[in-house]
Amino acid sequence: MTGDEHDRMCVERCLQGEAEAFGGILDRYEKPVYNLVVRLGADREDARDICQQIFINIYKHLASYDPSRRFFSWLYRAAVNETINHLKSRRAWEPLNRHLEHPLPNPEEALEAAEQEQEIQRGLLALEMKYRLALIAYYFLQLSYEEAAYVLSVPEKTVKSRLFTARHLLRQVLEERRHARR
Amino acid sequence: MPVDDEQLVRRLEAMPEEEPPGDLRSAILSAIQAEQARPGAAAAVGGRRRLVFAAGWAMAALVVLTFLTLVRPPSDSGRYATMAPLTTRYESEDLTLLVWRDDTLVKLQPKLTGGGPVTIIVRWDPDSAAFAGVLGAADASSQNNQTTFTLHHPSQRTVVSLGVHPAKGTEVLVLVDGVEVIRAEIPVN
Repeated sequence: MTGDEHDRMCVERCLQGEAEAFGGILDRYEKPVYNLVVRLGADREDARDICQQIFINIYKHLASYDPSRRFFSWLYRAAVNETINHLKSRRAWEPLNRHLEHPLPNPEEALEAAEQEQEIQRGLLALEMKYRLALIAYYFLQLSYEEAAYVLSVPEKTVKSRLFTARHLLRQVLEERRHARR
Repeated sequence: MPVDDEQLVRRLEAMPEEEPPGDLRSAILSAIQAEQARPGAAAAVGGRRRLVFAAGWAMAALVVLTFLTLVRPPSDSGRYATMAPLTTRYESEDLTLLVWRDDTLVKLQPKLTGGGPVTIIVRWDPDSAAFAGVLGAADASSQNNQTTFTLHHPSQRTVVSLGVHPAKGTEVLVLVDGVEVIRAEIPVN
């Protein structure tokens, strides 16, 4: 059974009243959705609450899922919207995830890897949301252009142009930060 | 040194994933069950049907527990079936059969792919499986090795519930208007 078939089956069973079948959805998507929320700029504590809300909303609206679409793109689209709404509702934008302010302790390699990850994540958070979303959809969620277009509710060519601009802007941010450290 | 595009893409793709909090899954499932239990809230996910089914399954479970008690070898290793969560789908031209395990029961849901009405027979080996119940078919009639009912349209939800011997597994046949269209093997877990 393919992943898509598994998803559709779980949805079908949920719609038939078997709430426990939702565990099959969580098995596949709890981690990517959590990471999506974190990458979009929520801190860990908020990410937990946002994720919970995303999955509850998804469950409540399963009846409106169109099985001709791949389930994950429908889920990610809802997840992106929920996260953006949550982030917008914050009083002030926080430039960084709180957890990123506390880098991992040794060993040295782990520290270096963590620093590199933080550098990218900080760079992402410095971008306008539309560019951040394009990078996250394409590189982290590994969606196709078509799927990313659906998730982000924009035409495919907009995804491509945003990706191009987003990479350019991210490179600039990273270079500026390197200069600033020297 | 400037960051080139290729290097940037590699770094983006290499970003590690974080583990979600350990209690997130259980929190979501609890919230969903609370949502399901909230009066009037669960219609979108089969709420009313769920109550009917819960009562049906409770009755079915009683029958099956009795069956399992009778057929279980006296000094069994104690290895009762660990039920797999996934559903298996069998397809024929006229019918799709969904099979899944739910605790000690195996559930079978034949769904029409075209129009009805058609007569469905679900048949099993009585030495390795026992009838536990059928829901969603007003005209269902059952014997010790088969149940017969009518499917009228593709959205009709009829579920046949069987208790399957934990050490044997079983095989189920589905007939449409007297013609065998699906043979489903229910393996030992």
